[in-house]
Amino acid sequence: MASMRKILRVNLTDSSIREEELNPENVAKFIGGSGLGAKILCDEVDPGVDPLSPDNKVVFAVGALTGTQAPCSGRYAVVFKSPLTGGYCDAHSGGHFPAELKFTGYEALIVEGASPKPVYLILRDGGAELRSADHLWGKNVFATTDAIQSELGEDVRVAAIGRAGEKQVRFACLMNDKFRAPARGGSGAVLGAKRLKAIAVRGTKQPPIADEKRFTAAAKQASAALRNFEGLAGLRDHGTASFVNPLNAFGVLPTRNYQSGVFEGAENISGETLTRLYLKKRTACFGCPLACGRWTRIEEGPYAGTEGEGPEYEALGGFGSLCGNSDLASVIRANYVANDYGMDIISCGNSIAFAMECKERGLLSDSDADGLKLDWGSGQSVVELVTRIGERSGLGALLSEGIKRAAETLGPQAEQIAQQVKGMETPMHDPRGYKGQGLAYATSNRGACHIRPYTGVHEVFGVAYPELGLGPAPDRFSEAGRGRMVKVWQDFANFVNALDVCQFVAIFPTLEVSHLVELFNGATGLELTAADALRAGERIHNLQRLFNVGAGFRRDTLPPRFLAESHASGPCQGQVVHLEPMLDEYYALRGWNSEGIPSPEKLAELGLTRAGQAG
Amino acid sequence: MRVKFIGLVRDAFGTPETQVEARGVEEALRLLDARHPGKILEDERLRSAVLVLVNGHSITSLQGLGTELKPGDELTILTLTAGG
Repeated sequence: MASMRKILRVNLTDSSIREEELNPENVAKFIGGSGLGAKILCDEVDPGVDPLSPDNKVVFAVGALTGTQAPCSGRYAVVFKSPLTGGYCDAHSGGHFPAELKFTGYEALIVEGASPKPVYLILRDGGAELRSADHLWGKNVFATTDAIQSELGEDVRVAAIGRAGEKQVRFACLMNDKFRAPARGGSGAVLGAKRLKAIAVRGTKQPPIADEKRFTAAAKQASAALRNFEGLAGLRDHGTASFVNPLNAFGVLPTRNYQSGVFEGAENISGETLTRLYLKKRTACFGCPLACGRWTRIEEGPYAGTEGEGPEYEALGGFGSLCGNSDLASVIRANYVANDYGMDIISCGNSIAFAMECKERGLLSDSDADGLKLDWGSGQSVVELVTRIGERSGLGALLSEGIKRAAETLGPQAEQIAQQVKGMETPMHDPRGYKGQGLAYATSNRGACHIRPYTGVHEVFGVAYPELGLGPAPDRFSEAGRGRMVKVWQDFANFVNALDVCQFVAIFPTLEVSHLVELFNGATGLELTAADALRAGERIHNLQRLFNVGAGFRRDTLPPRFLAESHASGPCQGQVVHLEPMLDEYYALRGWNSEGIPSPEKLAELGLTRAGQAG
Repeated sequence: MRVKFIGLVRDAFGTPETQVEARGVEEALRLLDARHPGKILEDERLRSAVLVLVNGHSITSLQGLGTELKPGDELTILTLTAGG
């Protein structure tokens, strides 16, 4: 089995580093990436631990396809217990760091314990060392990355935390290649608590391929399919920002903390405008023919000189429409600052929009923000609040806890407008305009998540997915059949994240299940079927759920606004999410009880027992 | 009536919006496609990656190309894309 390689375990408490064999059975059952990471986390971490204590662990895992010629495969997973939700979390990122990690020869890196002093990890072919990071502590992501590359060479790839991670902002994240983020859930806070400032990688080992001929044929076929699919052309030309105008037209662009789905300033923050005014060049992750990344620069005005990657769609929504902000330069700047501090822009944008609505409703005042105007549309305030959250200063200290905790502090009225699931802030897709997304948000094991699955491709854009049994577009306002839709798509998304390839190759039926399975089989020498792949995805999903059950989570739900409050106008006027019938259908199909707990029969069928004893 | 273009259709037409007079979606699309042949229709059918909305609702959930239009309706024509 070609991809059966080694795991590296780094204990920060005693500075020990040791290699371990990867159990080959785990590749067949959990694939790799976040599947392997989930297996390791659930085997080794008690779901009840304090996520910011030395007892939590962070697993970095690549997939069987990472760093190979399979298109869009330059990705890795970061798996940990989230300080934001208190539950299971995996987050993924592209860039060039993941392929470099693969080239070191390790399938996974386990970081455990906590260092008494700041350190960073250097990982090279078959070895690693810990070095003091005293000189890096206090720096943000860009300066840290530059300093490490200055020390070790420009060819070293770096993933680092910024000041937000050091200060344990609950949605602080690791940033790799400066601008790429395994963003969600607070990996940066966990690493900050462990005082691991950065990981630098440089490898030279080619990923092993079991059957070169078979794999190469499958990779060429995959690349051709991506090139020829017209639906991905928008990503090439305007990046993920190309989503702003379409979602606004459908009435699902989150606006003013989800009070509306239509933003009058959408055109100003759209992909088309970004391309016209600020785009300097397109950027691509390792091995990606799409190049949806944007390199932008602001030439004039208060943010002149701001230059870097982004913003992506979620930032345009989070710092833009969600805050009623149509000043694109301020969105670009806020995104840049959030990247430098190392913070999830979805959670960060939500926190600011939440504060603005709290002011609108008299729950906060400008004096609570030390005189900063908490008014809808104030781009200047958005930028300033990003810094204050990253520094945990003033109102930023409250918001840095995430909106669930912030709302609990501010009282019941604030809790009614806190847009979060399991403590994780909701992404920039209003599920009142496509009901399956509501069920997906509710049942995602890491909290509100828009990519496992993103149902809008089918429900809103009407794309069929034959291998998943998803035919013509359903009525996007209906709840009928959404339990089955979300269940099968979640299983597929988990397989994709275990491989670990970009969701954009799977979000459309450009690469179907069987195609990805062929790539996996060619790389590993295993002989999985498409049904085996979906079953592996189901196993991973149930394993994550077991961890959450152990952490105390029960029947899933959504924020009150999605359940009971409709838009006053626009295409989705009058719509709310009727979650309970969808949830009942979903739980029955999953083989879970009414509290969302997997049945013993389902666990036996999947070869699982309980968290910590996965078979 | 007002027609809004988004994404690659906008790039092709070189404008974010235009006007067209038509009693139904099919007639409107034929008139528009005649201005830039092949950008909206292909073999007299909607191109695979093109979506058409009437007042924010996809014509696939209405009466398809046979959807009638009335004064004041807004047509949006866009191309499939993704974000996140």
